[in-house]
Amino acid sequence: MWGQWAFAAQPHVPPVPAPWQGPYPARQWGNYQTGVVNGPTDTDLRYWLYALPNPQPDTPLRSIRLEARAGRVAIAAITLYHGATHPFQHRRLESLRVSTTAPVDIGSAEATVDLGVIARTYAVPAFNPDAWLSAEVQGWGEEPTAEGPTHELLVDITASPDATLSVAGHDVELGPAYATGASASAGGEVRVEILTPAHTWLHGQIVDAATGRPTPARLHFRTADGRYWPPYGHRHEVNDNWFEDYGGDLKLGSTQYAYVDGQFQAELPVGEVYVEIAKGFEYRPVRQRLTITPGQRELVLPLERPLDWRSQGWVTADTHVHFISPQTAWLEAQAEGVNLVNLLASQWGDLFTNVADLSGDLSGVSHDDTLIWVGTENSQHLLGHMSLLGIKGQPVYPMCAGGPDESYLGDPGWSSLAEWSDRCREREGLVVIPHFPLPFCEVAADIVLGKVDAAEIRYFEPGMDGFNVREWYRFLNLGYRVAAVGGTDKMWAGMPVGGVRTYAQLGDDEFTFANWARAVRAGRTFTTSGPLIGINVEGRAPGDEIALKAGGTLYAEAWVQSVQPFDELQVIVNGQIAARQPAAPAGRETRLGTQIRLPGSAWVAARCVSHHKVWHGWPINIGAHTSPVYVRCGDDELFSQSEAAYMLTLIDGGLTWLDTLSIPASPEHQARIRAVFESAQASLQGRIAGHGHPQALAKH
Amino acid sequence: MSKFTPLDLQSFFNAGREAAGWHPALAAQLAKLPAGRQTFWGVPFLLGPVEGPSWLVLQPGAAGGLVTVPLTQASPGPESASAGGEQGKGVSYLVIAHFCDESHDPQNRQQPADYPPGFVTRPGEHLADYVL
Repeated sequence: MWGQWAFAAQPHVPPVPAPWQGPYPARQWGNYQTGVVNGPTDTDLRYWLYALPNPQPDTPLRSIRLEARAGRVAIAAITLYHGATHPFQHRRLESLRVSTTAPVDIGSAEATVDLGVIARTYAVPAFNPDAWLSAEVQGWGEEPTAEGPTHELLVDITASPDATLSVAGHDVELGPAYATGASASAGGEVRVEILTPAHTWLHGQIVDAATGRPTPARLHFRTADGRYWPPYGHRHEVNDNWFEDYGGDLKLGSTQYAYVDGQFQAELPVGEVYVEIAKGFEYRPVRQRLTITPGQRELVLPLERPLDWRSQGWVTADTHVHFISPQTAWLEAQAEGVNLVNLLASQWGDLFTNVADLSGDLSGVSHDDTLIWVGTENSQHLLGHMSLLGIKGQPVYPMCAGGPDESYLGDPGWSSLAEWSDRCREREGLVVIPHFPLPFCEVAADIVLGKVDAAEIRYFEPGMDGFNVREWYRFLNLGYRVAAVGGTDKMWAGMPVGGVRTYAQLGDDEFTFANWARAVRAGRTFTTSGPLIGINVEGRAPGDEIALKAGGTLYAEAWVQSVQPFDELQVIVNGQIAARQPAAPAGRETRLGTQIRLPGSAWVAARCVSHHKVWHGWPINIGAHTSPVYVRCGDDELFSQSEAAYMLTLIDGGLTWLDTLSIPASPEHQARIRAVFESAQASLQGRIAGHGHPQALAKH
Repeated sequence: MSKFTPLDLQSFFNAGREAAGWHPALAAQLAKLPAGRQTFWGVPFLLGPVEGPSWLVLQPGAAGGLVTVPLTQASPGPESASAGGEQGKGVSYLVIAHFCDESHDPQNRQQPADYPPGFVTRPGEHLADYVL
């Protein structure tokens, strides 16, 4: 029975390690996340295994007398034990480096122990301390490496000093290893070494170097042999599968981190330990070699903040986070330097997430310059997705429609995105197209109709000329003004809150959601995965419009500051590079001033590119892009016939889908959705005709 | 020398897996306990069979209330020491696999606390003596 244990005997069913990655017996996923489960059995009854000590082991035993005193006792078996120590009293968990003369494969390495338990067997991490300490990009993970045959394994084991470890058919007695730190098989084929035999439990702080106060951050310890060593309260192997772990842990590439609120506890190995700390884009990441001394009880780790754009009126935001609780979102926001997290409830088939966190107002956890607002991501698999941020009062339901992947099998098309947008704005919310532009259908119509406030521009490729940036440029070249925002779509522990984020300029306004939304609508933003970027055109900032009577030459000045390396700063005009400034070697800051000649209306922005990657769950390059400064020259309208035709194709496609594959909720619903496409179609066709082009033929 | 010498107690087993005499909550589970050659926590045991006498049951006042098991004359298991007949030497522990019945009678109080029926017997209840 649970909770009923013997003081000096073990039940015959021991706890056994359970692979959290599976496979799982039915209904056991949760239990397997603990990494340990009770061994298989089909009964609650137990044999209790009691080791009766023999006070005179050198004297031959003649017999054992068994006499009942009360109740009923059943003796099932007796085994004589010839070891030196209690067979069931194990040493604490230790990590052993197991070296073999012949190569072994991690996946099939047969390591067993008799008087103990092997908790984990894994590959020795590749770790070059000097290279790690001097790496150009710090704090954003490292590229995952594939495991292959190796001559070294790591084995985490708890065992009796009398235990025998067997690896690839060779036996190694653990007694000498526990006594001296190392042991080997008789023929030397297998050697074991206890790593980090000494530890100390200490209380640590991460402090802001300027204020001396504890500050939340993301923390990573590793041993001299490269093993991740989490602070207490954090798991050793972060589960970065979709919707499986919404705790305060993160895995970027091959590097794991723990989110701490500025204070932590850890039983660290004595000796050489390496630490990495990261806190957003304005604090300099730390990589440092520490020497932990025996009995050390405290550890203080300072973080410097070389950039402080917050003091200049900028606030950061992640427009797109799922699954974690509002409190966890607050902690991770603080640790990543994010001022506003838009936590989004949504629907995934028959799964509804964060619905219980919806309050129709700012979350009660908001404080200390960090706001959490639970909104919704409303989606349809073909028409598109739309994030409704900061809605007051009741959420906009249904959140999803039209069937998988977003809603359930056979779910009809309840709503257009445009209708969701209207209802959002009625409730003072902000409308953002997440992971712009996909899915890409009604999104085109909604931008044409002015239903969209901003788009997540987030897939940064090395040259910043990836699909999502190019699609955004199409709309800008057609004269539609869509602000750039950054959001992560965090759905698993492999994505950090604010890994791609929005910077919005509030000026002198108080930091409230409403003021932030106003700044976004006005286009006073940039999106970034690291660099902080700005541009002025004739002193005007992103979102502003410069009115000229005719084309002319304007002066643009751009700048970037970054704690991470970047390659080049560029000024973009109508999607083309107008000027560029390479970064100085190891530079973290640069400026670019240039005259730009504009024959007509235009948009001007700045962007920053880098060949370096940050190892989010969807790895992207370090980069940043401002929203545009708009230039209107007289009556000249930004327009492109080819881009307009492209948008009409998308709109036409939407109408085709409505007529062929969609599941109508009712003729009235269907008609309302069609009307959105028809209205956008008419608008575009009118513009095409107005620019003297033959009206594009449409099927509908 | 092997670390273990499992003893074959077959000749001492006096009870099978029948429910008679056991608390009902425990009796229903008896048939599911492991049998035969097993290894628990790395220690090998020679358990009784599924059918027939499986255990040596000790009960006060019954014929099986006092049993003496020779350790130098009992048949050793196949994992026993290579020194024939000397398996009782060099023994640091005797590892005993056993179990007891659940509390039957709430009136049979040997401790101040009253354990209801169906719970494993109360801590400190003196069930048996094992004497070398």
